[in-house]
Amino acid sequence: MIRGFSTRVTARNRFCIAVSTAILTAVAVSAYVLALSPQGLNPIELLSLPLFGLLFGWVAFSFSTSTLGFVELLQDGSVSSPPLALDDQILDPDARTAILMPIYNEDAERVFQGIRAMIHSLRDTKQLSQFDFYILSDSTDVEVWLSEEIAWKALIESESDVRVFYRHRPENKARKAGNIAEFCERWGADYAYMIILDADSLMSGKTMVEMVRRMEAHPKWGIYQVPPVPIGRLSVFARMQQFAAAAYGSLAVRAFDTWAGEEGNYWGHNAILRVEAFLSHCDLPVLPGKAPLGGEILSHDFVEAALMLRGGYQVRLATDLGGSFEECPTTIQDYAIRDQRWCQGNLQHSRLLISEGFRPASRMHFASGVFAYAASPVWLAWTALCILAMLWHRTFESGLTISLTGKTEVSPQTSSSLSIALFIVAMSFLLLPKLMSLSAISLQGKASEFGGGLRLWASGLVEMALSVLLSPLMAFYHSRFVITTILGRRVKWNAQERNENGVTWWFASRQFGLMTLAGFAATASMLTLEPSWLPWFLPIVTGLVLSIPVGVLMGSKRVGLLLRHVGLLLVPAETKPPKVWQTHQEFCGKVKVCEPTPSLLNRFIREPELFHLHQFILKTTDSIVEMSVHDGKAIEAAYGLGGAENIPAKMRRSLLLDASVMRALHTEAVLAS
Amino acid sequence: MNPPLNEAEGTMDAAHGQNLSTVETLDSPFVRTLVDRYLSVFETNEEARAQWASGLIFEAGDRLAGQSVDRQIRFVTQRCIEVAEDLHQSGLSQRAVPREKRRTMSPTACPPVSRFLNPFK
Repeated sequence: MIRGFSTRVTARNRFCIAVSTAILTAVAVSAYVLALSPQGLNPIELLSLPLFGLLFGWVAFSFSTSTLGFVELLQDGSVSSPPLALDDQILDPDARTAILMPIYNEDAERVFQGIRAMIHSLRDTKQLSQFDFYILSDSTDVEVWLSEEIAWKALIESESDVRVFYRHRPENKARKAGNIAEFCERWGADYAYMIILDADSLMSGKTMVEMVRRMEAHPKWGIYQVPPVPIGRLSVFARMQQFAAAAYGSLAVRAFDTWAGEEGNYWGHNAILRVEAFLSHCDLPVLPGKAPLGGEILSHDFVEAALMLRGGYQVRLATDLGGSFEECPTTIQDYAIRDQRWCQGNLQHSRLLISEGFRPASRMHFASGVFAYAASPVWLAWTALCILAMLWHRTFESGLTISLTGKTEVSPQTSSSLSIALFIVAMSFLLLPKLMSLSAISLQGKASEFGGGLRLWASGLVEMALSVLLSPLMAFYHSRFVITTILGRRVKWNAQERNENGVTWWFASRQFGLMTLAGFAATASMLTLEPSWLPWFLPIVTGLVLSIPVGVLMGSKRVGLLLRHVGLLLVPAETKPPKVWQTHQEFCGKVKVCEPTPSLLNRFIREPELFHLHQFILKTTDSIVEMSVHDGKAIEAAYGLGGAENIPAKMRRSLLLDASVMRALHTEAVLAS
Repeated sequence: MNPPLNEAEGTMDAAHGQNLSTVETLDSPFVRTLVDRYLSVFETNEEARAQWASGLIFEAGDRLAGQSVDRQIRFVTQRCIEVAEDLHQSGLSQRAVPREKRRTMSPTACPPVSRFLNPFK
């Protein structure tokens, strides 16, 4: 059953959340003022007031939406994805769907085996013929590019009943968004829908068929996002994220849906889009000004969703569909690298936040994205102001203060109690949604999917403890990212590290050394100046002081496996592995891992089959780019002198794009063989 | 990816000991082996490959009459690559990306900053 909010229900939910957030924030701010009042508010405390209001408002908003989501979830009766009961209804032949896999310097074997697993899953639905696959490569690494061509050839030979197309874009223009836009402009007219995937995405055939069905049933849906669940990684950090997504994801998704409704958001992959609507409304504007905040839009998904809504279509979130998976970073460092890209992308949206023409819900999505990162520096600034304010009081005693409480007398004891209460409430607002999720799973009898009730709750505690340890590290990372972005430092958008190589002590020391020192310095200062402050800052300084061992522990696959062995951080994908994932693992296990080797260029020049495969792809996808005669001669000379290895690295990409020069080298190779 | 030697065994024996620098006539075992080995990846029929070799040798002799053997062999090699390309393309033609139906995305100008929302105005 498709759950759909009416506009009226969405409006009611928004009203409830807004009122609840406003009341909770107002009460908290009043309590904050009272807590600070015994000595009157000094100017620094006054400065901290709006920051506190902003931070608490954010927490209160999350808590309010989660609570509403929890109520909805219990009423609805489904916590995790129910099995889909697909009938044999055949999809309309006109509802042709292209499944797009944009890739950029990824492990080709892994990507293509994923596609193969999805082909097998779609074949099981008997509706495979409705789908075509497009592998849209933007790879700039020559060896990776050539390994993709080999992997594509192997795939089409093994799966002869499905149309899998491969094209490599000569120029990596506008990144992933440009990659997809190019597909739309060249082949989009052939398809009613496109399912966008990421290089690490996996979707079950049933889910993809159901996505098409729902788009067919709702002509006003422009984007339908199926939240991806991270699976398959083994490090502690990855398993912690996987558990969080599996255990708290349903509630988070439902909470989001309660207020977003038909004005939802798009996360860039594992979603189906209406091609015609996308072509008509989702061309990305170029932002005025220079990068990093101006220029090409980096995080395209939020903007495309906003443009789709502006075009009169709905953007929906699937709250009841499973079968949508992805992989997550396995170390704090990899997570931070990804976050830095997202941070820059999201901060760029601040320009659109105040632009004309967007719906209020889209502005809310932009604001959420911005504040997801901006909250950290705000929090650090507020913490710093609190410390300064206390030092001010020690220095100036009761002078230079302003009373906001009028004649209301606040005793020091009341003030202290209020401070403790505020702390407890704020922590509860952060932790209660997690407890609600665990309760919902238990109440719905789904705990067995997490290894049983005891293990579910124990895993929850482990996850929460690790989250507390990680929070200050993430806050420092995010603050650094926000500051460097505002200062104009650009981020290189490289391929994501998908191997589980772990973290060495040396690497962790370099990575977290400064944070550790900061933690020790803060602890020592407090012990010297005011030991009574330490308990308040313990959650922060503990994470900082322990950041090096925490970094090593989080990246450890061995400890992750140990946790799995004892049944901690188990997720449904481990207790009941999804078939499409099992198939993927099986395929990946069977093939020899195709690591890019420096010899591929040489092989493509020398070996007739590979040479012609490359020429075929270049010609049929209209991707030939001729180089200058001078460069062509230089490459031929270099090849004549020392073979492929002698061709300068920076010229290899141009060589592969020029069919004539490749042919000239191939001729020489044949004659020399 | 080179063709298995046994497919061109007969001509390989005859070409034994020859290389490009020692070939004196175009219609030599060396040239026939070269064509046969190259096309064997794309054409499994040995007879058809032999016919291609004869055809290419004839074409080179006809079009480059009087020119050096070296040049003629190069011509045969280039034509052989072209033939292989056709054979390869016909085998994979149904795997080529579909014919394009060009559509341009309706351009979106960057929306101006709202007069009501811009905090700097």
